[in-house]
Amino acid sequence: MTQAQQRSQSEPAAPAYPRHWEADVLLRDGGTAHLRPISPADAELLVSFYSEVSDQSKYLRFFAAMPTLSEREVRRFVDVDQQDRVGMVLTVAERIIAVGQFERLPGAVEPGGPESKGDLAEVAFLVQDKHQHRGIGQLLLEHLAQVGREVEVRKFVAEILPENAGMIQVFREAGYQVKGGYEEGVMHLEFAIDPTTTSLEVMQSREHRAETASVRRFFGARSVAVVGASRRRDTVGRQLVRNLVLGDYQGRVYVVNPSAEAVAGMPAYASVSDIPDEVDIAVVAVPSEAVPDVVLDCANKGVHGLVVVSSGFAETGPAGRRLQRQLLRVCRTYGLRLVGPNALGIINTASDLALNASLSPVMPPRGRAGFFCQSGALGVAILENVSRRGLGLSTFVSAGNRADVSGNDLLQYWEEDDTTEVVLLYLESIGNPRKFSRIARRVSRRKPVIAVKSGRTTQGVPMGHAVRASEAGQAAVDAMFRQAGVIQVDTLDEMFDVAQLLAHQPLPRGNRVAVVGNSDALALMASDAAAAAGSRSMPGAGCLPRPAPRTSSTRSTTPSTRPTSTRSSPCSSRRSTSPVPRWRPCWPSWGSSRTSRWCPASSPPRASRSCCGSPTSRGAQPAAARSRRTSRRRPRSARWPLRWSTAAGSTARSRRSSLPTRPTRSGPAAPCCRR
Amino acid sequence: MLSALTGAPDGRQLTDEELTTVLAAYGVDLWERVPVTSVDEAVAAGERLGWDVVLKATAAHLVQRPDLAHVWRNIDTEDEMRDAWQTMQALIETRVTADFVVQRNAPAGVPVSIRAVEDPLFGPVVSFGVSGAASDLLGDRAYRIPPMDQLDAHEMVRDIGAAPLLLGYRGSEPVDVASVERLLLHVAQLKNDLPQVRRLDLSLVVVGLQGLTVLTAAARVEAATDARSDWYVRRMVEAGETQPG
Repeated sequence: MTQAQQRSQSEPAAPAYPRHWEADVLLRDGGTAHLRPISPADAELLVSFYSEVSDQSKYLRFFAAMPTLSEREVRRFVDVDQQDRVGMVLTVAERIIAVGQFERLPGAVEPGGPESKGDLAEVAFLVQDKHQHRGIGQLLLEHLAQVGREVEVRKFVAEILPENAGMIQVFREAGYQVKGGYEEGVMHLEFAIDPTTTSLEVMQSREHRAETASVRRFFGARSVAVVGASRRRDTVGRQLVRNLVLGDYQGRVYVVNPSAEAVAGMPAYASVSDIPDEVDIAVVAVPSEAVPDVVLDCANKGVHGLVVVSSGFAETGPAGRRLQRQLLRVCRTYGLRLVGPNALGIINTASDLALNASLSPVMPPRGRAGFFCQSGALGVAILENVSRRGLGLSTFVSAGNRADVSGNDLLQYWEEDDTTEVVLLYLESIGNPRKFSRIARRVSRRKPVIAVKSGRTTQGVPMGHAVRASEAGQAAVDAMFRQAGVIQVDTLDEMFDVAQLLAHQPLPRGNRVAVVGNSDALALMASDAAAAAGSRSMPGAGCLPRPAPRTSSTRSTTPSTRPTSTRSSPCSSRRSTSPVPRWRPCWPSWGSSRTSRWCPASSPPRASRSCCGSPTSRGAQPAAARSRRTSRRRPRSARWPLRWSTAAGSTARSRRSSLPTRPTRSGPAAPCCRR
Repeated sequence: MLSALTGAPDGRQLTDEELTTVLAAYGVDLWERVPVTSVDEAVAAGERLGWDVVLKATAAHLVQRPDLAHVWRNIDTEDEMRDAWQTMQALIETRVTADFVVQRNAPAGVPVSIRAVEDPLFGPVVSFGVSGAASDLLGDRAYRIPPMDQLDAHEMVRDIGAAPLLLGYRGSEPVDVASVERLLLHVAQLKNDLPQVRRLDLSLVVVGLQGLTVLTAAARVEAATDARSDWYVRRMVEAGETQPG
């Protein structure tokens, strides 16, 4: 409210073109479009837009047959002051596909004086028929409401014909308190446009749906065009074709090369537009200067997205940065999503849709982890590491300079992707941390999210990444990860350790570790390491008997969702200097299944704790080292952690966890050498 | 409410009145401070505030230094004020820059500080710590990113190494931690709503056994560079500015 007010005051008087209203938006099906204020220069575009709207839609908009717009009506559409009459258009490929407007009603609600402006505005949309059901009305309403708040409109009214079910739904589902009724055969709706909790939730779930759809169309591509496929061996384009074909891709592969008739035994097309069938994604390996032209070619064909593996963009300097900006601009204008540039590519290991649209000849084994990273070189290292460890991946993206598709999009996709149980992120830079934190808070409640953030201390980012430096420094990054429930690790090795632990072991119930060994010296070192990592360890052999813990009758008995109180441990009377795990994540999909695998259903969970509750059986030290990180997570459910935290309220948190920097740790391969 | 803030294009410090208004809108009661430069002004201020006041030096090199006796509490009469003024002038040699203020006497408690900044990368960041030179130098602060919930606030207060001071240390009564959590949430909400507040520093908040008092606060406003682009409307990150993460 105040924000809107303030912005409106900093705004010069109308009709200056309000550039900050412009936005690139993602439609429900994952395509992109550009939203901008209407301007007087749009008259011609508007006429051609209107000619492609069906008579039915026109009737629903104007309540009368309006086959064409007169000159005067067109001017009324486009000559707006963007204060009392506001118009916005949605464009794809510089053609208007939808128009949304509102018009302030004169002093209708608060007649505070003759000069007072009304705070009620009538809102209306018109969407081209072929673009209906893409969530455009909702997007327009969202943006018009934001504009309305800025120009001090408090309420929207809309008059809709009862048969216009789609539009009624747009208003009903936006999350506002809509009041309405029939008057003379017309439905009259009215609602305040201040954002409500519901409207923000609605918005976020729509954002989630659109971004998920956008990424799904990459991973689920049924046909791929390789642009820049070359006949010569050892070229990038050739390698891409090879990887696709040898990676058991079951869709269609098209090669595009204007100067060859065939590549690797496949007929080559001169351009993407020449391909007879539909093309879902295009993998682009042409020199960087030629990439924008490829985008136009792909847009003409109706391709959903591009994977640009070509280098020579922002990573090379200012000229490349300009080129990258231009590339993104063209992609957004024509409604394409972009992975890269300078990307290694994307991989999907699903059996029915195996897709290796990357430069990596190694296809990782199929598994339950989704991996997002940026740099291509790192991507190769990761894929090799993954294969060596036998840790399977479900999906893999190396987004290079991540000009468009980012870790945030992938998080959205993985949230509901059934093939992915663990999310691994190697973040070289975080461009939109607010959004990351918003999404990660939600995703980490359902699936573990493990992240390496490089440049923790130096705030260094690779060339090609445009980010601002944080002033709050590392403490803020750590706080953000922690608040978002993300397991933060320092190295790739550590990330894979945690991922393997989460993928193959039940969640530890607490931080008690029993060390099993045949050497006291080694066991002591192991328990030292465990203690240093924040676990309570008990040196000695075998599973130690332990007094039956006190149980709290108020807690649920479902093992995978119940917070574990370390207070029930016999050690709890000692004041611990280590972080106390105060919660258990609720990832039912894999937590329960693993638990049931390791704990026979017949045995009571608590009795079996010392054997299966702690992950000592697979090497005490790495497990102990990890448990500290694991303990940093907590679910973001608004309900139960509160109750829980009250219970643990008197436990002072360790200061270790709040220190701005933590000691660098070597990989768990050599855990004894850590100190 | 903040309409006056955009007058200065390069941003400016908020006056005490403006800050009091802004904080009051978020349920934070900032106690009045009366800057004084002479003993007569100090006496007048004491009278106006109804006595039971403190006289304290607020220059950066003097605050939070118990060894320098920068604050004189429980001044109830004009005589006491004159006495305090003279004694403190004797103790503090650099009185030219001492920046004396008179303020109502707050209930005793643990001094804490709450800071909120608009970070170029994260947007709002709220931090919390116990006041004192040692805490500052050791960096004993907890950070959180708004929007914050009650659990965040609960943990934040307990995250710092000096948390035992609040929860009962060496036999002291635990102070009203719940009120600190509420204040943190209010500040987080303010910062989340108002990106124009570049920096908000509640540098002296005294947490007593019941409730707390906000004694010192300062804020700087600047035009917001990034108006929470995707908070109220969906939009993809613009080409040319920050890339998405």
